[in-house]
Amino acid sequence: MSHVVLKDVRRFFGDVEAVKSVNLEINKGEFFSLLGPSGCGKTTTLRLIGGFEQPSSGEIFICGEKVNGKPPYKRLVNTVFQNYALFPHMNVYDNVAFGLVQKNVPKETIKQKVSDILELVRLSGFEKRRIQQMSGGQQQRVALARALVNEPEVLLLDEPLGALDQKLRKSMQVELKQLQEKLGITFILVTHDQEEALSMSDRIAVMNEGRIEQVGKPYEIYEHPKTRFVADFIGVSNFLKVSVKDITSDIINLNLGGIHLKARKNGVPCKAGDELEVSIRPERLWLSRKPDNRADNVLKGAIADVRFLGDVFHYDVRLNGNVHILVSRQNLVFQEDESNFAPLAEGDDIFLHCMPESLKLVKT
Amino acid sequence: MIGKKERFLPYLYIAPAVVLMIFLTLLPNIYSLYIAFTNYSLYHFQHYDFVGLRNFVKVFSGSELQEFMSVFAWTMVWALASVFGMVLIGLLLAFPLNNRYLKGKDFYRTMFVIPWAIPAFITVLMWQGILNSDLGAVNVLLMGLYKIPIFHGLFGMLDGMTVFFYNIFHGMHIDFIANLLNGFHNFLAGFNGKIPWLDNGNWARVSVLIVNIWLGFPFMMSIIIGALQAIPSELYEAASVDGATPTTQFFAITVPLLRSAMLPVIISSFAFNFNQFGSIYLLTAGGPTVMGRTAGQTDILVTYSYKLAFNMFRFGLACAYAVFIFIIIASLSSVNFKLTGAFDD
Ligand SMILES: Nc1ncnc2c1ncn2[C@@H]1O[C@H](COP(=O)(O)OP(=O)(O)OP(=O)(O)O)[C@@H](O)[C@H]1O
Ligand SMILES: [Mg+2]
Repeated sequence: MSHVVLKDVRRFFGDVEAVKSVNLEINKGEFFSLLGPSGCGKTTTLRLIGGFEQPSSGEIFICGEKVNGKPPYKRLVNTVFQNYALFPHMNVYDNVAFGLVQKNVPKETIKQKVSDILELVRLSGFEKRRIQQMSGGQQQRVALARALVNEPEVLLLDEPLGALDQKLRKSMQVELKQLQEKLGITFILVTHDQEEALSMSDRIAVMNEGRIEQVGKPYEIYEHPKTRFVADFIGVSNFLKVSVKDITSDIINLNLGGIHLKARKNGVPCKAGDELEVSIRPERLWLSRKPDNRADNVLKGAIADVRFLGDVFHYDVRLNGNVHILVSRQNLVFQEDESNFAPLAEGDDIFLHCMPESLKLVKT
Repeated sequence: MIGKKERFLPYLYIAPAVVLMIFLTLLPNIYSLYIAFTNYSLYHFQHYDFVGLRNFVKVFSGSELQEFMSVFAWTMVWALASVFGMVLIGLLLAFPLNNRYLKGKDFYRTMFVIPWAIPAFITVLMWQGILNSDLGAVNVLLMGLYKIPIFHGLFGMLDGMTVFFYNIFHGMHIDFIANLLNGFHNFLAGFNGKIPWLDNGNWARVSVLIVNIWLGFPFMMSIIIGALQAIPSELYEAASVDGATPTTQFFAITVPLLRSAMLPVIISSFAFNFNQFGSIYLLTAGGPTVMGRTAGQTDILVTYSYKLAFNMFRFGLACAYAVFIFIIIASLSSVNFKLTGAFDD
């Protein structure tokens, strides 16, 4: 059995159903992220696992043991809170030692464990510091130490890096990931930052309106979004309204306002005559002034707008029937087709290309 | 570049306030400081002289020393007991009012804040009526109760018990408690439902305290509720993850955080009550009077100094007292500023 299991868990707040029938299986030693927009129920799901909330229905298992109704301290779980929740009137040592003192651990053992854990989070020598005298990143590490010193099987982190600035957040992401690999503890991280989730997690669950839309490895989630919401929320996607012409063994032939498109089957059920949407990433389209015969899909269009972002160009391309597609191109020195490519400008006629693999049918 | 105008503008804005402060606060204070070193009084009204430290020496010597000691002692008791009472009642009300399971919080909070909202002098004058010995509501009620046999019997029983314990302590020669019990017996034996709220020295002290605490507890309660709500709930959750019981949480989180939030308020409240002229002057005018003394039994330093100045016309001495009060309040304030870091930039 998996390390943390949620079976058909629901949570109502009055009439509001904050968590709607969530099923999850999280493995031992996994870095698992709950990703979703604000108000989608991430925190509530985490609090259900931590024992701060009880499910309205459904079952929760931790290490094979059903924990419904158990208070937080009787679960093999500890939590790092969003605002750290450090005790402002205690110094670093007392904050970290708090849990051990509650368990009546002998003084000498506490001293040893606290100094070990402070070394682990690189805060040795800060024992006597007051919390107000610590920077945001240091407070974050004290919060980590306070949770880890209790040797939990599962560590819950609710937007632990949310209060840090961009640079510090990046370096803490690396640190957190290394710490998790070193300790081998299951981490469950809540975040609304897709980059954070993609770069740190072994697996991600994308949540929307209290439901889990898709669970998978970062690459899978990005490359094979199952629903329109996931395709839209993770990265940037173009959505095209198409109808299904026919289906061969592995190719689906689509019609986009008279233009013929080929897409690879990706498990999303469809049949001839269906009206549905395909998504395509801006970086999976390439542009040229003349049609490129290597591509299965070629579309004719015109540049409606050019945006230069430094490392990439964004082109807004208008197709027939006033359909707009966003295309991105790396700002490289060597383009395959340099002469062909020289500065594209608004109004230029252009051909768009993509592979059938890049067109994803999505459930709406 | 900051122009001349920008540099000048801030001074212009504070000028009216500064001018007012100079004429209404600073100059009168300097003048009274000067008076404290003169013999300005009824007898030296037109021509008064600089007398050096004579007024200050007078405060600390002879018969005036007695007056000073008793007034100062009562002022300390008064300020301490007032703050203690306000904080105690504030705490007792703040905790239930902060409980998330209590329904109708807003109603109760509004109700408890009413004593604060009504102008204090009206409240004090109302209390003066309520505590009137003959016609006041409290005594009318007590006298009514006293006529009911059950209560009559109850008082008799209470008196019997007092005498019983008096005999025990008297036998053991523990005079302090025996005397207290004797006083209580005398009160009960003579009790007919009528309590001399404002006419007897000790009762008058109890009365001014009750009224002052009544005026001050809503403020304390509001401050405590605010301080309790300022403690993030995550702190309690973090503690509960670590297995801290509600009792441990109370002593490890609520108490220390409440204490650090309350300490500056308690100190300034002490300073404020130390100089709480209105409650006393309007209720008892410092009385009841004592034969041969200027200070009445509820007089605190400010009301006493007021009496010296405007009843006895001993302006020099009154100003010496004012200087003494100022020194006490100023040192309390500086302690407070240190604690809160109000002067830190
Ligand atoms: N104690 C509560 N009482 C009532 N409604 C609640 C409570 N806690 C959460 N909700 C509601 O449940 C929904 C999910 O809230 P939750 O805090 O889990 O969102 P979230 O995904 O963590 O959002 P964010 O990224 O903004 O933190 C929201 O609509 C919220 O208003
Ligand atoms: Mg949240």
